[in-house]
Amino acid sequence: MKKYTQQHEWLQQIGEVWRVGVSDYAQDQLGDVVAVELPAPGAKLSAGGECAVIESVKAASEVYAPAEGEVTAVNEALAENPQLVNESPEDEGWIWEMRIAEGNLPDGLMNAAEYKTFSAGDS
Amino acid sequence: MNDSVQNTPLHEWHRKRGGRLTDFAGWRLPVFYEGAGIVAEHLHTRAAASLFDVSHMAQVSAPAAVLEKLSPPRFSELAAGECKYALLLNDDGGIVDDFVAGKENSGDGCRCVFNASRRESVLQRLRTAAAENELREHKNLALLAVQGPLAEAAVCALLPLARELDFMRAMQTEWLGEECVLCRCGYTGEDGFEISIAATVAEELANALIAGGVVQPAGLGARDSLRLEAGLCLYGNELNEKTTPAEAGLLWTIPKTRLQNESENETFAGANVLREQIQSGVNRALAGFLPQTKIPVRGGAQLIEGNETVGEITSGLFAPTLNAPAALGYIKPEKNKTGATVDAIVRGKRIQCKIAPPPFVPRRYKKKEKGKQ
Repeated sequence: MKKYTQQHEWLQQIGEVWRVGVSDYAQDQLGDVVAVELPAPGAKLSAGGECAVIESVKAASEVYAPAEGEVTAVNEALAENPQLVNESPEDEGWIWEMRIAEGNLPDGLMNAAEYKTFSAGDS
Repeated sequence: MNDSVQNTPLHEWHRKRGGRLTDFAGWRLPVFYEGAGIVAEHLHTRAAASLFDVSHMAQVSAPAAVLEKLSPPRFSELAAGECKYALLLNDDGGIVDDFVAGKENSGDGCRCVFNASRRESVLQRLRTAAAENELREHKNLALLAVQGPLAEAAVCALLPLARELDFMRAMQTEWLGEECVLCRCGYTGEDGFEISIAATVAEELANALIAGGVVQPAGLGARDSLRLEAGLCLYGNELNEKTTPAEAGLLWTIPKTRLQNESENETFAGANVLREQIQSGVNRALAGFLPQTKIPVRGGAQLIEGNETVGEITSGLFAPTLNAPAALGYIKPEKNKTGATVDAIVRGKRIQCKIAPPPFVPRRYKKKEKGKQ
């Protein structure tokens, strides 16, 4: 089950790691994605720190680490097909996976219904 | 959104078509339309034609003699309907605004289109050379730009006389009984027209233009990416009051004879500074840059060669026609060599950029055929 942050990112636990991406609402706000700068596998992230950058035609938008932890994998498909972030933001357009220690998950994560209400109020 | 922001006559029209609105220079305008997006709108403009709402721009008539004190072209010598791209200068040769002036049919006036963001500064500057009653701002108008290889067919279906216009020529005509001014010009590098018409019929004209499905609405996002590919300057990015035409590569807008020693009351503002810069050279020159990665280099990025700062990017984005990033910026003239590389600093990293003279995409204006009368 996906959990959403107020920064319009989603997290999903897959086995031992958490997969992270941006929400459908976020990709819609960004417009055409033309490049994604990915973190390095093994990179140590601090909660709220800059981790990836999504480049659209007009602007660069930072994606922040939702929690402290270590990057275990990145979505290499985005190097060739950055538009996956637009086409499939919450599935094939995932950005990175990270290990998050128990207790390091941020407070205030939303489920899909809660996030829908939240993002509707943001527009 | 801010309540002091103004709506253009096409505001409801944009909303109905899913325009994603933003505040731009005090106006609420679409960045792109839902279901299309910047890239699709950009490519459609190059392949067919697009309709841009540029009603936010300031339309002002001023006597040629007034303009000639503040701007280099010889406006008084223009034939009726002849248009010039021109720069309004301050006393130091800095650029107050860039604009298109078209000679009016009667009298010695020019009808000028200025940037919305510069309206106050432009009027203030014009007032230094004009009496208040010599300036006339045209209000309650819409300005629609139709741009692209199929713009001529679309516009001529409604205004058949448009076919007779060459690039940078304007005419007065009528549509639905409303006076309109039609100019063959634009800001995309493509053939096209700008149509100034009463706000009351703006929606009807926009609907008529897109009726066949060939012309599609496009927003500010595509307007910016198109103009950058065409190597056209954007005020606030490439141009400002501290930048001169010599630095911006816009000396071609200055007739040579106006730089010769004219008497005090015949010269234009900043002429001395420009004469000096032409003789001694400038410290920076506008150039084009092609980043050698997929990552766009944006305005504000420093340009480095070795450990030396050699310039700065002023506009940068992903250019949809090139399917690659492109940028404009200023560089030391001695470093401005086509094919040479410099590094742009993006988030602390170096991105290699190849120097390439703009335009990045060839301009396709409909100029008068040589030899044709």
